[in-house]
Amino acid sequence: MVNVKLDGVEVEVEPGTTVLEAAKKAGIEIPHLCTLKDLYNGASCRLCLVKTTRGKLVPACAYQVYRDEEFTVNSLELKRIRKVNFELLLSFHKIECWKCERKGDCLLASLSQELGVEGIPVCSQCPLPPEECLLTKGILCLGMITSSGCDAECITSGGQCWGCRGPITRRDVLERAFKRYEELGFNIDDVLFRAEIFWNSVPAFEKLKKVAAEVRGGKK
Amino acid sequence: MKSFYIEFGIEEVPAVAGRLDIYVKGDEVSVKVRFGVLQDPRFFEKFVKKRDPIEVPYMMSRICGVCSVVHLTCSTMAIEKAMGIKPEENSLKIREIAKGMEILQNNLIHVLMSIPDFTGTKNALEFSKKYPNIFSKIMELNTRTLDVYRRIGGRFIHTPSIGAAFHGKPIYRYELEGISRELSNLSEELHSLAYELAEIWKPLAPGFKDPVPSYCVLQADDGYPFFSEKLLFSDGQVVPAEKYYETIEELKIEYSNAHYTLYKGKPFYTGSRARLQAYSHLLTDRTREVIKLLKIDYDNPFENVKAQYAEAVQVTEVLAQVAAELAAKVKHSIKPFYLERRKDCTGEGIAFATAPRGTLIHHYRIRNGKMDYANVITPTVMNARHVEVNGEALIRWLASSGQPDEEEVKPIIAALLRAYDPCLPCAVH
Ligand code: SF4
Ligand code: SF4
Ligand code: FES
Repeated sequence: MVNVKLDGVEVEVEPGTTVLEAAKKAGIEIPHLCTLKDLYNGASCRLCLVKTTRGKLVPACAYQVYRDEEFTVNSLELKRIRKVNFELLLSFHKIECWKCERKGDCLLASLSQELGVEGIPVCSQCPLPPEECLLTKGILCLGMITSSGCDAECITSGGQCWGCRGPITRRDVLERAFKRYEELGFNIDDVLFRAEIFWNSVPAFEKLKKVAAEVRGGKK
Repeated sequence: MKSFYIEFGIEEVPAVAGRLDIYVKGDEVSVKVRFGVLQDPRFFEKFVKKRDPIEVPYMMSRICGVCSVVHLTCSTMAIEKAMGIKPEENSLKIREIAKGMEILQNNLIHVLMSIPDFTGTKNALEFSKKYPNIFSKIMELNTRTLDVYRRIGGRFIHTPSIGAAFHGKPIYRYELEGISRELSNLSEELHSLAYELAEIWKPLAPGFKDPVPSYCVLQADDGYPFFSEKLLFSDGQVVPAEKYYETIEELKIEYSNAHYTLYKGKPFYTGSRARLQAYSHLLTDRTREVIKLLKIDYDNPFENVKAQYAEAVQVTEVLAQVAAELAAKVKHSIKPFYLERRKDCTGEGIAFATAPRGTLIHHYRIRNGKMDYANVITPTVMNARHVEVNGEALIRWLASSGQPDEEEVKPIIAALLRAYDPCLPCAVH
């Protein structure tokens, strides 16, 4: 048996155990995405990076311990690094949560909430299946252009999203969202008028309005 | 009366939401108490102008984070009236339950915040140390109230599922039955807690009498009222919605950011103390028993806190009944609905609601589908002048046997204000 020390918490494990498993045993959470027990440990997402005593960053899901060792597993620095890695991953994910079958139960959405990554819309946590989206019933919901992180509180409670968490800043998501508003017969001016209630003095609202104008202009 | 001179200010009153100051100055000839709301005006009535009417209840609910439900529901009712929409019967009942739950929750918390004044403790923290059982019991009742609310409306603060022409949360029959049962349990527990409270609750300024005992409540046409189209004043006058403006006089006051109100040129009050008196014929046996246990003296303004407790008992019983009746009516569930609305409607709507702190008025005009005018009168505004007049009388009462000690007067004036349960963000809306 070897002794692993994670943020000062000691845990005894078999030699060859990964840091991620050791952490699980110690009751410590390390964010992870790509690893699948017995199927994949290619360490490609790099969300689970931890730091050795010599300052090296290693993926917890693949790094095995064979001797007594110490790691920093949660720190502001690590969180920042994980956040950047996650943002890079997300950058080529086509975000269209409102159409997604996994919405309401999405690992990417919960990770982005945990790491403080913006850009995923409220729809990602919305409990309604895509075909029951309020927009399809003609009810204006700002979920598509609002940053997630609230567990879609209002929709879960039976209401609509009013955008209280602030606008999404990712351009491609906004473009797709405004196109969908138009497809479903909503006037973009109405959407922006509604959004004004919460976002009137939010700087990102200006950018959002520009994107909206372009989407409208492109159609002409 | 013996001669005296007193002058002091209080800049902060603990356990009161918002910013205010109290200024007291005078002698045996004349003494003035000034209650100045320093909270900045927030212009809710102005910024809803030109908006889509269905957005208004959600905006108005933001007037207050403590009693958002009453602003939301009152505004919803007024907007629906202005739009000429008749909501479904069941959803009206749901609104009633939601509204009542808020009164229950608010009253419990306010009792907890004010009870230190009546038990010789400095604040709620000290009270919790001296009477840990009572403290944790009230906290537990509060949590359970919120749990019930969640089943009815979802989120408690700024409830998203209630709105004009709209009800958003499916509510199943078994849920209604459960709510009714839980409310009956709550009522029983509140009743037994009243015995313990009666033992520790010492009246403040016993024998002091409210010099202007006129009040304003909702007219009760059909049971304990949470909403109504008429106001009732203590002199028996019933005022229909469209006449409220002529009856309640609003004054602009130079030292306060809030308006004050008068009825027939005199101040009046509103709140639980007023309601228990006005609806004495509607009170349940259990409520009457609690009123007797706590020995509530309606002439003393401090007793409003006790009245809040007794009203909590009343509300649980009324709501348990409403929920049970609704459960018996509903086959399977109350479904969400969105009613059609005309985009270009024109109309006027006024609604009165029972807020935890008193009577609330929302008044709107819509022109061509856009908001044109809004007026809101909150309970704190109604009470504001009444607090001052009572403060002045109280100082005279305290000074009847000579120069009062400033350090003794200060806390009792603060306690008087607290007893009205004022909410300053509401006052400046
Ligand atoms: S209801 Fe709102 S939050 Fe849910 S999917 Fe539709 S737009 Fe998104
Ligand atoms: S209004 Fe706010 S809390 Fe409600 S769903 Fe939208 S972002 Fe979430
Ligand atoms: S989980 Fe993806 S690198 Fe470890």
